[in-house]
Amino acid sequence: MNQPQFDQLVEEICAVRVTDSETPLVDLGVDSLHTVALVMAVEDRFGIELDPDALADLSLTSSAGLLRVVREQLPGRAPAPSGSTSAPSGE
Amino acid sequence: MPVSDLLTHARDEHPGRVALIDAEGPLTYAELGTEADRAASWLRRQGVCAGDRVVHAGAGDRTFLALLWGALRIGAVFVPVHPGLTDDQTDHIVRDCAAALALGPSAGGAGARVTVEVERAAREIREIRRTRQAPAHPVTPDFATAEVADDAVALLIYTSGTTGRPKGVVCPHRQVLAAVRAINDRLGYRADDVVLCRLPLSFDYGLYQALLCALTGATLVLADRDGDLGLIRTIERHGVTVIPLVPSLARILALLRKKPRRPTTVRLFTNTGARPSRAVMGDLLDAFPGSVFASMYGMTECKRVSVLDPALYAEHPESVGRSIPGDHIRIVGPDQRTLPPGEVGEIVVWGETVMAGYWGVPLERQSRYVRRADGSLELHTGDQGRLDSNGLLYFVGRDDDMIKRRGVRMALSEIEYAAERVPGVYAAVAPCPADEDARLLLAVQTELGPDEVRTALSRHLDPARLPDRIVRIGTVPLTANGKPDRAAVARLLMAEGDDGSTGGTRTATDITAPTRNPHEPAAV
Repeated sequence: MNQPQFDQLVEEICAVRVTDSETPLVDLGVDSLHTVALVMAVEDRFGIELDPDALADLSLTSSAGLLRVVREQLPGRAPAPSGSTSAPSGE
Repeated sequence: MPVSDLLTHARDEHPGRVALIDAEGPLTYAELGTEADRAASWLRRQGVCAGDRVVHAGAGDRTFLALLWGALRIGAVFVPVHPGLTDDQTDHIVRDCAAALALGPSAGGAGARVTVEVERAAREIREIRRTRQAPAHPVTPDFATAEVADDAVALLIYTSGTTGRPKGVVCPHRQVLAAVRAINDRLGYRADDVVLCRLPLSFDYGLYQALLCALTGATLVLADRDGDLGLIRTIERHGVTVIPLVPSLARILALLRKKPRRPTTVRLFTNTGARPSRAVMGDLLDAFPGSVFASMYGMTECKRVSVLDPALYAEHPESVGRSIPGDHIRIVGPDQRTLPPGEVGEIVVWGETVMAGYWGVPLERQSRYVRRADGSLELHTGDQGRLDSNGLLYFVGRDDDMIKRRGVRMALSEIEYAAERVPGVYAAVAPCPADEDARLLLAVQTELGPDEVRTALSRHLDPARLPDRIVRIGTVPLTANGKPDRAAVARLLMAEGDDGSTGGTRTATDITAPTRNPHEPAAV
């Protein structure tokens, strides 16, 4: 998954516009609930569990920063992006 | 008795128990007491005397609590302010309460007699620790307790009033202590409890967690947004037993618990204000086996009104419970006559926790507070509700001007007032959102572009109060009384497809649906 695709995922989960991949999520207007929802969706999507310590400054993390953390924790390579995003049902 | 005696007793009775755990680690009640001694000394060195207002606009950490307890002990009035407020908002509070000392950003606190950055205060309070080991230095911790009358002011908590800018609710020592004791009578915090506070301490629901812990000798765990992903680990590591919720926190915990985990020691969830949906609450109680839920109702003007016995939640999930000891609830109609059980009217409260009105506002101009025959104040909440025949309260809604958004109670007029302060904006009308999930719209009569208005408005309003969408209108419809007609504006926007009923860019993958905007304090 490349950065533009990842930005699109962020936009879908967080209902914001990612104007710049390096802008902290909090400055894009992403609140705490959507930040956690994003990480949960990313974990599901990539089949990994992110280390909370790697995301200690979660609100200051950007879309690009989150993707970097994901890539670091991927065992091999990123899965090919699928056509539609899937997410766990909320409630 | 001054509120600070809660900590004095905790120091005596539970010196070795952990009082709080923050990012720096644990602190026992004996150690917290020592921090408070130093903070009291430091405050006196800043010239703070009994009755002076101390505004704190910094993070909720051990320095916050040391200053809170220190200020209360020297008889000063502690004024907690959310650090996320704009300089303009903080400045309003600092000037409104004529603060002797403002801890926080220099721009927002400039109106105070003395302004100190929070980091500098923390450092200087620590210096006192060192000088204690070097007795040659004249600065020592301060152990004295001021003579404080029960009706002296302990806290000023700013909240959106009926109109205009936030007002300070005057919280005397007597009422604060009455509220802490009455709440604990219903919730039963214990010395072996560990309370996870993921709420800002500037929010009274968060602040009272510190008071409840001191009352009972329980441990307060302070968590902030950056620790959200590790919340379950925090709960496991510290053996958390009690979690005060706001709806967004309930949803965060429900999301985090989807992964299989070990059982936890969580025994009690509480909530006040907007309630998590039954579905979220059901998920949460399932995810934390052995836990129960106490649904509560209150507002800063009287702190707490009612608490639902957790045993009644399954049968009465919509109720916010019975009045707490010492408080009395009645429901009144438009003619101010008391209504019988079952009928919906305004929720009115009198009793021991009703605070002493708004700071600096003459009582005759405080429509929410009405003097009773015995001289005490009765609070007209502006909220609609009903009582059943068993005395259980049901919250139905609020009056037109007040809305709740992201857990923050605010007046629509406050948002309009801020917009109308933007040069080039002739008039602004914020129609009442259809419900808490609807978008907050602001109609403005202006030549400026919506983005220009938003940029200017963001200097006056914190994120929780910023409208989701700003729409230009040509003219403002007026009511027969010549006031802006919010309902007519709402119809106008609806006709243009901007009725705010949809979540805008929400998609099927928005797993936090249906709420686009979480009901939470701005910083949660």
